[in-house]
Amino acid sequence: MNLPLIVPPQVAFSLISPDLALLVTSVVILAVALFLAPEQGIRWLAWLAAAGILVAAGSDVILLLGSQLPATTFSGSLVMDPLAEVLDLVILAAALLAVLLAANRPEASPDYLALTLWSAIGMMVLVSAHDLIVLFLAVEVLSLPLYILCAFRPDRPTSLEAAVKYFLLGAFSSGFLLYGLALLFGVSGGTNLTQVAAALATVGSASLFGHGAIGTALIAEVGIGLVVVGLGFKLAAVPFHQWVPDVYEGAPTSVVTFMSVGTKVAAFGVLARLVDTVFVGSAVDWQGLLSALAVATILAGAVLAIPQQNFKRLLGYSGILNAGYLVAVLVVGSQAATAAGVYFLVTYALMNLGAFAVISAVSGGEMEGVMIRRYRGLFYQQPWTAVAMAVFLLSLASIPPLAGFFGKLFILQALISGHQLVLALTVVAGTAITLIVYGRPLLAMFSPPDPDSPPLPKMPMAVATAIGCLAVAVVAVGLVPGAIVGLVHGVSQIGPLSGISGR
Amino acid sequence: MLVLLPLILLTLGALAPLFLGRQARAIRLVSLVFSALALVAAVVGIAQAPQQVNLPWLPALGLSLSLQLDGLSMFLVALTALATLAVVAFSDETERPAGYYSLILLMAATAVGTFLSTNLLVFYVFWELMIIPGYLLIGTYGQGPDSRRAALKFLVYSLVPSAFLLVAIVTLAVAAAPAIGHLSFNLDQLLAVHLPAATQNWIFLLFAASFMVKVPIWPLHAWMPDAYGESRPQVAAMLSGVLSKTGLYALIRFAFPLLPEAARLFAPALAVIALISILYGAWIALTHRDGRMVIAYSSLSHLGLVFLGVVALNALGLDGAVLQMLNHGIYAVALFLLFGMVEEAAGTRLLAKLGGVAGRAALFAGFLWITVLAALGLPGLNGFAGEFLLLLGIFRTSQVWAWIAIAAVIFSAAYFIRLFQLTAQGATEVELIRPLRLSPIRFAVLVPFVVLMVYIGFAPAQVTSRVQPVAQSIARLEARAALTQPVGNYSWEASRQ
Repeated sequence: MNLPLIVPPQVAFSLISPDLALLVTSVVILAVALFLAPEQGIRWLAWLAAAGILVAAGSDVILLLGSQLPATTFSGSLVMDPLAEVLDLVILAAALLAVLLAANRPEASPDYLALTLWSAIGMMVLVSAHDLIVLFLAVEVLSLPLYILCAFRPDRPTSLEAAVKYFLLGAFSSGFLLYGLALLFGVSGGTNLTQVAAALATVGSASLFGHGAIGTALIAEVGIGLVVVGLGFKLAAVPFHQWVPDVYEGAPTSVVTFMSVGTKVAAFGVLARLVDTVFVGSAVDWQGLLSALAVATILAGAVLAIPQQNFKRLLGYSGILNAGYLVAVLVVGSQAATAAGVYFLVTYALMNLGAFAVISAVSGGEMEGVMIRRYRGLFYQQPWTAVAMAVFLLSLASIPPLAGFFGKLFILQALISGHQLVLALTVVAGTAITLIVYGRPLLAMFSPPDPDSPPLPKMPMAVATAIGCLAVAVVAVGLVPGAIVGLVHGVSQIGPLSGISGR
Repeated sequence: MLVLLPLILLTLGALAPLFLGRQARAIRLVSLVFSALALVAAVVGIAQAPQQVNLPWLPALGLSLSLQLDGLSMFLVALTALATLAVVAFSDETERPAGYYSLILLMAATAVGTFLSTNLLVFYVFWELMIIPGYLLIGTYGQGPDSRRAALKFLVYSLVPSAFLLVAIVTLAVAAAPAIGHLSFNLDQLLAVHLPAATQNWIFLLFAASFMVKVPIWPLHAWMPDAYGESRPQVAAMLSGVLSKTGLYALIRFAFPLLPEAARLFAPALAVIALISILYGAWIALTHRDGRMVIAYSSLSHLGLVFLGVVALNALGLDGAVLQMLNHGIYAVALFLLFGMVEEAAGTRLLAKLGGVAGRAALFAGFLWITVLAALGLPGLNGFAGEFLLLLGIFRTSQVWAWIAIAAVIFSAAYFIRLFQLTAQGATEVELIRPLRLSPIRFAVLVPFVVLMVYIGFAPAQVTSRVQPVAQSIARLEARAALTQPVGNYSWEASRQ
């Protein structure tokens, strides 16, 4: 009896050096924490985590500038290409800001730092995943630490509620995702995306009346549908968005900062890869599916954001809305469209991280501090904070010439070039509604201050620096959009091509 | 670089207050200096025009910072600077000065940007940015109890059409790209492309809706009474004197030349809308009890006439439209500011409670009288010259339109004289909370307004001769539209092939 030979995978460690840097840092943090008294040295550990993230980002940049990319490793189950590396950088930026924001807060602890890093690893693996099993594992690696992180303010019932809600719905979505992946495996007989793509292409072209063809086509269709449902949950697409407002409201602000950008980037990355490698070649009507998802997400996100009084909930709905734009641009299915999505995501990360950093600084960890009425007269108390927040909000509302405008413009151009009229009109309708949404806090900031409101907490230097850098980045990317267009252009040229994955 | 100078100066002026904290006097002085410098730069620009700059911005997208100072734009840039100077001089915000003066100058800078841009995307950048200071000025520096609601209304009315404007702009560029060879938003290149009528039509409708809201033209004017009524008179002066011109300007600069066939198709319908605007505005102005609303609705009526001149689609009408935009800017700003002083002094703007101002402040009443005369179109002052040219242009296209429009001119005399009588003359002697005295700065700022009213009244050719070449070239485009064959075959259905 011949047992199949187990061939150890070939691993190019240089390709996964960013992930390794985070892993090593997290282990070091936990080890060092054993020798520190609790409450002590947490700031040093936070700086250590930040250093680890910077090392990871540095090796990411080296990979991006070097000639190794695109490449595969782990026997073709991980793809390292410019798309993955650019998205990795965004994830790392979100993790860095989360660590900086948490440093002075009750939630800061060695576990917090390690969990954040692990979740970031899961996200980074997910955007490189080229195998169904790796894909599922990455989703779980990114999700499990987040479930725990949401509960990191046990003194608040809302934090626990957020964690339970997120965990339960997340577990359901994992189930959907896993079932979908299993069906795709059943259709194709392989787990590598190349195999899946090849199998789905023949399913599409086979005549419907051939032997068992109807069954196979149906299975493929259901499989893709379930995968989209599972990822739609992570992306916060309507109707899988129910968890978003409660989790955003209840979870610690630093965690929300991280997950609002990180999970979105990861889910977009893997969905873009699936579209480019698997969906485009198949005969399944994935475009209709994604279009419906996008329209529902954009309209629901925009309209539900209007009455919000809590800034974190408001940004939660704004996150839903922006997820809608990302899904919409994927419908086009061209590499230029993916590049537009990546550009949008980079700008979204800048302004969203900035807005959350301001919220964190203004609230000082108090529940009352995240209400919009707390922002009345901010301009007359901390003028530069208010100006920075105005920049972030206006950019989120895609007012030119800020970064967000060009992200939106590229998406519109991709949609119009791809002849998607309905989606283009939905995107601008969403944009029109959002300025009404963001206009309210904007008006509050420039209104006369409320004499009864308590003084604002003092802002830590690191947070102030981060806010300043992000605001400058949002303005600079808007004024010189060419700076990152070049970067993203690289993504579209080499791209998540199916051609490279066969090795 | 002269083209950029007013824009740069106003932007610097908008940023400066942020560094000055709460020193109201210093901030006001700095704002005055920067808007005065911008005015000087704009006047020098009139002497040196035409000029243009082209700086690459994002070549991959056909985006370049193309700004042009020509007959169409130069007077409006100068008007913006002059209006800003006057508005700053007539403001005395002491509570929260940094935001106020900064936003006023930002509004002026963005308006100048829309007047100068010859790249559709650059234009859109300024156009969209212009909404923000307006929203914040109405909402946070409002006078009335409903200023927040008024601000929201302004925001919704401005934003919704302009969001769709972006779709129209991008579609226009994408549709024209095959003929040009690459994606371009530059006006010069887009003008050379002749799009099929079906594409033109809906792009034109989105353009026109967005631009007409800003003027405003009936039935898109619903934001106007709230915005003009709930904000300060100085802000209303900015909105009516400057912002309304951006809408008309964009129609003349972009919508009509780029989409000439659609313009011809929709011209009769637009003319009807313009006539309704003229008559409706005049009717309300004639009967309104609130003095500021009389001025606001007179703007609706007068700008409707300008719009009708544009829609007439001939060189005379366009020439007159630009002249009258300048004129309206001059007298509307002066009217809002002067009447604003009356409001502040009397504590009310209900005409029934006002009266007898002339007996208290003769000099002030003199300024008001000249402005009212200019506004109602007395021959020899600037309003007459513009109206005459406009009516001439309209007459050439349609005698019926012209006859109806002339009715509005008669109305105009009636409501402006009523406004002056009830404010300045009459038996009721209003109780003044504050003396109606013109400070030296305000007096100095008003003098150029009066000089311009008289000068343009006697020598309108100084303006029209410079506008004429541009007006003629646009009119030629309109006339040629019927003769040439369209190119390009963009349609939304292409994905279903």
